[in-house]
Amino acid sequence: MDETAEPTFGIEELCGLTGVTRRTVRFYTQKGLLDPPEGERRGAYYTRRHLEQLLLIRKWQAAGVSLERIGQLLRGEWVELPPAPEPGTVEVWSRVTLRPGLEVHLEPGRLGLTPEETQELIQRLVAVTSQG
Amino acid sequence: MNERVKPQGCVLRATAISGRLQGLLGEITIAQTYRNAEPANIEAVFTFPVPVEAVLLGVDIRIDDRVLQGRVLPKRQAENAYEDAVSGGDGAILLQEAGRGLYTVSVGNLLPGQTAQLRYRYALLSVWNGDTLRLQLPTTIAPRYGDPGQAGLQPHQVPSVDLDAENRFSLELELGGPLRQAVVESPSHRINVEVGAEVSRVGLAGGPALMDRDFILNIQGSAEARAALGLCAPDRDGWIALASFQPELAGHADVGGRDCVLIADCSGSMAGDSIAQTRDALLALLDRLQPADRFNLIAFGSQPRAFFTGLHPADDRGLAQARALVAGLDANMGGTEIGAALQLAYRQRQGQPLDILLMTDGEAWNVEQLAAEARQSGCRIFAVGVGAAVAEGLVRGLAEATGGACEFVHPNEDMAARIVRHFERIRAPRAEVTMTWPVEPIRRLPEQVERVFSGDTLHLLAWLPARPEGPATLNLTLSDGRRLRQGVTLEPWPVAETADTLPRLAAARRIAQLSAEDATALAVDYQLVTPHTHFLMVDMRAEDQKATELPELRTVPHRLAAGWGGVGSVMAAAPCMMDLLQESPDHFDAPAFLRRAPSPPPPAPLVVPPPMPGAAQPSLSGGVRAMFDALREMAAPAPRAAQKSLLGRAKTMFDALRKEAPPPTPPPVTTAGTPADFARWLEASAARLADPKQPLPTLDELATAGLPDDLLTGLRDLVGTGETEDAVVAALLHAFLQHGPECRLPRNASRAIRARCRKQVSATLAAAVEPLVKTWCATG
Repeated sequence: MDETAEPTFGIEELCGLTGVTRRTVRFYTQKGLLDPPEGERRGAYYTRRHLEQLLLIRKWQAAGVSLERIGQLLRGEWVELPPAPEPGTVEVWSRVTLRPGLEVHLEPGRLGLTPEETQELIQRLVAVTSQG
Repeated sequence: MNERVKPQGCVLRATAISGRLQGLLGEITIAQTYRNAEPANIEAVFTFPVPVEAVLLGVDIRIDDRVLQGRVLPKRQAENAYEDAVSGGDGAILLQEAGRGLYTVSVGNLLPGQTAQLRYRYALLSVWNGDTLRLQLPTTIAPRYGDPGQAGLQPHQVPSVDLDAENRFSLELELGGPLRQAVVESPSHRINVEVGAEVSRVGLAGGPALMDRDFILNIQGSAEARAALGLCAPDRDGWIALASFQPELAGHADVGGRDCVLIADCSGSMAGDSIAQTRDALLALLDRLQPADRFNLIAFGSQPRAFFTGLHPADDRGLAQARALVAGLDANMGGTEIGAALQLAYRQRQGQPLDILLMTDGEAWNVEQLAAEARQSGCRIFAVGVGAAVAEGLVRGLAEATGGACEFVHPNEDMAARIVRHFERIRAPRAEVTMTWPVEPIRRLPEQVERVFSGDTLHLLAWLPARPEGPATLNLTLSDGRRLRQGVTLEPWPVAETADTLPRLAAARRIAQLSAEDATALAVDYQLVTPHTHFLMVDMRAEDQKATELPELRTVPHRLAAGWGGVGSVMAAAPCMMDLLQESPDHFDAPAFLRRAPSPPPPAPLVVPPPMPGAAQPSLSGGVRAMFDALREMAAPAPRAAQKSLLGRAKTMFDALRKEAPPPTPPPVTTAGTPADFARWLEASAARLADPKQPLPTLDELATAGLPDDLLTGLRDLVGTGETEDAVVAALLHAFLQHGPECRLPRNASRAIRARCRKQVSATLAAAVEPLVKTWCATG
């Protein structure tokens, strides 16, 4: 055995190091957050990479990040958040009542609609919702 | 709620609930069928609700045609054995608790084509409240506030919710013995009742129903049916005895002078039916306060808000102010910080005992912490659980921790009558209770009876060193000096093969009082699934039958609870009154509560009667009309009938929207053939393709979108070899995005398409489709 080889861990050892149960390790693997172990079936083992991934998942979870979001972050997917308006930005939101109890809130600028298109959208919505 | 696994066709194929109630002790069976219709090995995981009081007696397992046995083991041992089995390719089933009234089942390594049938058998000890036994069977878990991890759930146990999960359940209940002749009705579902010579049978009138609300059956029993009950059964070296009494302590004059705090849950999940019920409850409560009482009103969401600075006299002025405040309550206060609201209530206490009346749907995770704090507070909590799928664990947990009581009221039930019962409990005289058993017990449960409420069943358990001969006697000494005495003979358990039901039920009730170590030992001994023990079945497979890869996870989602957060109203659902003691059918156009013979109609309830089956509008008799008018005059929010019709119209409107506004389809491309055309078509279809809810286009559609015939023929041939059309289209799109001309797709759309296609396409299929697409792109 090569002395300089990367350290590997059995499942029990990995659980001991991270405080995560075996089931949860497997759950993260199934959810695609953690890479599958090396080796087959009961001979499976984990490496430093797994350990780092697992610690990162734990850290983000403790900070209240959802598993879905953690998955996106780990895969390097970047989900665009709605841009936070700069202080001083003026936005005019229109609030249109389609019928009592049903309103549309829209900001035609952000939607990229011309006034004519906005009007058409509202007319269509009113037409659809006034039936029944 | 951080996961949404959407299997293609739910792995949970069927749920059948059956049960047999002979009296207060019943057995409920939940049968679930899981089927793996996918080409891959899977692990099905489902966290499902059962009545909080139910005690799991056993799990019968059938995989395909084989009957398999499992057993209860200490938690760690079971978890490790399950993990070993799953990673080793063997079949395994693990059943664990996920909090009060919740269980998680994992069906590991369910191979393609395999079917697993699981039957969970539960014992359920019910109670009479007045003349009614309420059977409440939950079917779904509504989204709950807070962190399920802190409530002890492991990540895989966290239930997921889906707006359109199509889970359905069938139901077959048998009422036997003294309950055969009882009057039954369901405020939640339309039911069929068939009275037989031995038992009467209750089923769902419309066949299997969606699992989106609790099933509720109210069983009204005669005085004979409710007579005291005594049972005994051998237990290891000794005997277990159960005595159940329904003491009547009526006739007590109450002078008032009590302190109480009313708490209304105004969190977002309460929107719709639940907040309307809460307003009804609060108004009914305010009506019952006496001038000598003091009270306060707290509404909470993310923050609690007390309406008065301290306890306020329940005089006319105070009550009028409170009524006006109640009218303005809405489910708009954010999260469900019940703890903060209760702490604020505990601080109201001034000198004398304080009672708390809490109205909530209980949709929060931190039950255990809340119960522990409540126990410390010294206040009694009288809880009212509202909504169509209430979280029973929290509502019951708070009441039981404090020596209070709970009522569950479905949106179609009469709130006022139940509030009156709560007040009777609050005003009940304190009673000293002693119980004499024929043999001096080794142990009793409860050790000391701290509360007796008139008309509520009291269950007393005793562990006896020898077989009891002679009656057990309950002695009550009321605070006004009256003494009551009631005896019951302890009959041996009637059925030999289930004689361990009573000992196991008794053992389950002890668990909460024991240390973890003792509880584990007891639970293993009596084969009980508890927070310390799991049920495990391992099916060792021959080497060539073992799964070769880790199973893919398939979490079974719950249907979003009906009426949750104001998503529709369940008050529109027509409940069905089915009286076994048949009344003349021409009474059926009268409101339900007027028909409920033999009790007279309750005094002007604030609840609009549920609509009759088939009736477009509830038919209103003079009295009810007057009530409506009174409702309108009050400074209350819009009467329920009006809300309901609005909701009805809104629903129609949504249906219309769905029909009238189909997703915009891109115009067909007429010039067929070039990859560039197809790329433009893709750009125009980006929104549709990125939406996982919409089906992928069919090959026929693609023919109009610019795919050449020879490519289409090649793809159709693949469908001919057994690939699904969906998968072939997915493979095509995936290959085109990789090898075709550049598409100007929004980043999130192209990513979603890639992710979606990757999920459906096997390596072989991808390998078959890729050269076809490459050839086309090279020549076109």
